[in-house]
Amino acid sequence: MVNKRGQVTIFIIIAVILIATVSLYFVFRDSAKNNSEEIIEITPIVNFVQECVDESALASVYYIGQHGGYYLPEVPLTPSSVPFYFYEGKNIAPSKEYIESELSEYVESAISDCVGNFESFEEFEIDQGEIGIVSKVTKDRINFELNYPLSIRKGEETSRVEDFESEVSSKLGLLHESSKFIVSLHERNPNEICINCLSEMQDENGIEIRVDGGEGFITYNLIDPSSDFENLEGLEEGRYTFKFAVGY
Amino acid sequence: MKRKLLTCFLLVALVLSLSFLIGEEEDLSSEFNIENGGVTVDGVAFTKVDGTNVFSFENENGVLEIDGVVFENIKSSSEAGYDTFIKTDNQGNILEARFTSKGGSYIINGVDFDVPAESIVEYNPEDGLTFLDDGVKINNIDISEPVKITSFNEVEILEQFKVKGHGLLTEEGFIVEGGELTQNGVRVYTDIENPQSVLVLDSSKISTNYEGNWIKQDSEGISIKSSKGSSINMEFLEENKFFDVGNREGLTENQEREINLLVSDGDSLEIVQGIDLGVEATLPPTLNHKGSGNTVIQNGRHTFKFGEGEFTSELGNLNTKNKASVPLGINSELVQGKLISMDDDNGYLISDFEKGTKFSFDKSLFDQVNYEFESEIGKKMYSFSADQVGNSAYIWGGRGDVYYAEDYSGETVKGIRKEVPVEGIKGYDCIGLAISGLTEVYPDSELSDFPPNLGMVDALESRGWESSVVEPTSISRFTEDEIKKIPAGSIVFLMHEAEESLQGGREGVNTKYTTKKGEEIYLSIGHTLIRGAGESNFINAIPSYNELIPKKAREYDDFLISQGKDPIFSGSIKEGNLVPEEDYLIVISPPQ
Repeated sequence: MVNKRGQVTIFIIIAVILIATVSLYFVFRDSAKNNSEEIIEITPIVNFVQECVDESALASVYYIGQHGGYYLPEVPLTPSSVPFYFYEGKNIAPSKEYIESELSEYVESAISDCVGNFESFEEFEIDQGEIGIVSKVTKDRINFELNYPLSIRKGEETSRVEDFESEVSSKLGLLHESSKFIVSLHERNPNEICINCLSEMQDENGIEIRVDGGEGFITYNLIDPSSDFENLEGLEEGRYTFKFAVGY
Repeated sequence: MKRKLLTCFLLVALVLSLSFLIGEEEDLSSEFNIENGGVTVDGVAFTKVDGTNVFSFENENGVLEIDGVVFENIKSSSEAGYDTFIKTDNQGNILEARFTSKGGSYIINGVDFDVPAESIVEYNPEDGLTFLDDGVKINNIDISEPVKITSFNEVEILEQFKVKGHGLLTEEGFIVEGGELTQNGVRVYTDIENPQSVLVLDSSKISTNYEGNWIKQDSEGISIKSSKGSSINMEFLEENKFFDVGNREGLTENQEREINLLVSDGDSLEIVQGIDLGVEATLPPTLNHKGSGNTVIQNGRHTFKFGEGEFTSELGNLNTKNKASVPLGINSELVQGKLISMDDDNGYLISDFEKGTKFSFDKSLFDQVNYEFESEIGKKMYSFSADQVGNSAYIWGGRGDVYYAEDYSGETVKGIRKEVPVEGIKGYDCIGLAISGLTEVYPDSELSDFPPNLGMVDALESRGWESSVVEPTSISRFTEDEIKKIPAGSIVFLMHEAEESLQGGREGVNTKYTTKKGEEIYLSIGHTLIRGAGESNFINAIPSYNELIPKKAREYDDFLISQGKDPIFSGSIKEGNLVPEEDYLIVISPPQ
């Protein structure tokens, strides 16, 4: 009987320990995700970097949309700096993978600008490692995984953080898919807009299209009417737009 | 004895003839299956030839009446200078006629018409009624069979059709078989190369069982039905009741609103009049398209096409820059639940009936050019030439505000310089466009600094331009690529291969050239072009192409023609593509 009671006690103790361990894991998962050699108060720095990551990610998606998937385009552009996807009879549209790499480049550059030299955190000595970014574009969102090694030292104590994530809800992927469809129509008939083809595609994808242009080219603005980018300057009615041009 | 008999016979014949010619009104009904008094003549000769009754107008004031129908005010043969006559069968039906009227009303086989003085009227079973002159009006018809009408000038029919060409006048309306018909400002015309019949219904008719192409117009709308393998061409003139073609609000001097339709291969189109919403607001007319054939709606710079299960919009080029659209709506089975709304500035929207606007096309930025100019001089040359498209016209010897003509009035032919007679319109010939452009690019220069021949090559090389030759596709695989590389604004001579014997002709027109394969040939200038901004685009002043002549120049030409003179503006400035198969190009490229 005593043995049995003792066994029950042991089980209870083990259970309590397990529950406490799991609870602690969840409580400290976010803030302690990054390795800390010593426990110092780095949360403000982590939050600051995370804010920079989120802002840069959002800005990159907006910028990349405005510039037809390019951060630093090395392709023919219209007088309004919109990249051609169909030029001199050839399809020169960027692939999804290329756009992902352009997003990553934008974010890397934007984060560096955003964090600067951590001037707001003078009490810390912060060493930055090389930023590695993997961007993943799906139809309705873009995920950014960052490896941004930071070594944060205060006095004798040092903490290390390196992994950040961000997600932007945007139909960039869908708009890019739509652009591929539009370019394929122009490959077939360069100087025509297939109205019923676009109309069917619009119904399927739930996007709006605005077309303008000049002599010998037209610019497509593919718009996600459900998007909300109101916190970014210069964005028309907060609707996300993906631009590219077609020569004819 | 024989001589006496012959003399008697001739006297009798003379008396008989004179009785027909100068006698009083004579009843010839006995010669016809018509009641007494049904056929009378007064001063008109009558003969019977192989059973056909021939009335010859040999007197100045001859009058012929057949079954109540009077033929008078007809020039005699001596007045007209040819035999004026009417031939009938014994029932009084007219078989053939040819006469010049002094002005009057006539009825030929149930077609009641007025003609002004000096009008020639012809009728025969094969060609029907032919009117050679202007001002003819057909006022009434009482026909059981269609009557063929041919007119060399505009004929007004039943106060609603204006016909120039040929076709069949029927009880239902008029079937256009060649030429054109205008009904209430809607012009229906046939393709010269592939003429098609179109029945344009009398506006009082409600429907038709006609199996071919037909058009029905009333105040509420127009119904257009094409038949398989056939087509209907329509243009809307200023006086039409549906589209505001004449509205010049917001247009530049040479801009014009334009809407044309082509309905073919079984398609039908219904134009529904716009609705007046009051307070000076009107909904534009709507075009409802049905069918799986082909329909083209050309409105301003846009060409909307239905065909092969697709609804497309063709994008305009430089040549369409002066075309403005008229507001309208388009519905089609191909985009169900959506309305295409065209504005008056070449823009359009596609709206979902439930979800609102889904697609918009804004043409307001059309002044941008998709081209990176490497040369400022090339840019100026291109801009000058592009500006002339649709704003200037072709004139032989044209150099902008002036043109050089030849004066044949003296003993020797003299070259004379004349002002282009229409204010605001410049005139060029092909090399004149290049020379005039150069004087704009080099403001201190004069026209005479740039020879209108191959001497221009030397003149421009001395200013830093570079020349090269592009060989045709017949002997080179690289023609297309080489044309792509010609910078915009370059001056290009299109050279025909010439016989050696042509050498020594007009100075600076011919040259010797050794091809890249080493063959020695002779080339002669055929045309001059300015390189455009597209892949193989060239801008040129081209004769005998009238579509892009500005309205003011067209009107001046019409004035000259009405005065019996030759028109001055005989072509357009236009952009086109060129990859020569047989001709060579001498290219003079501007300095970078």
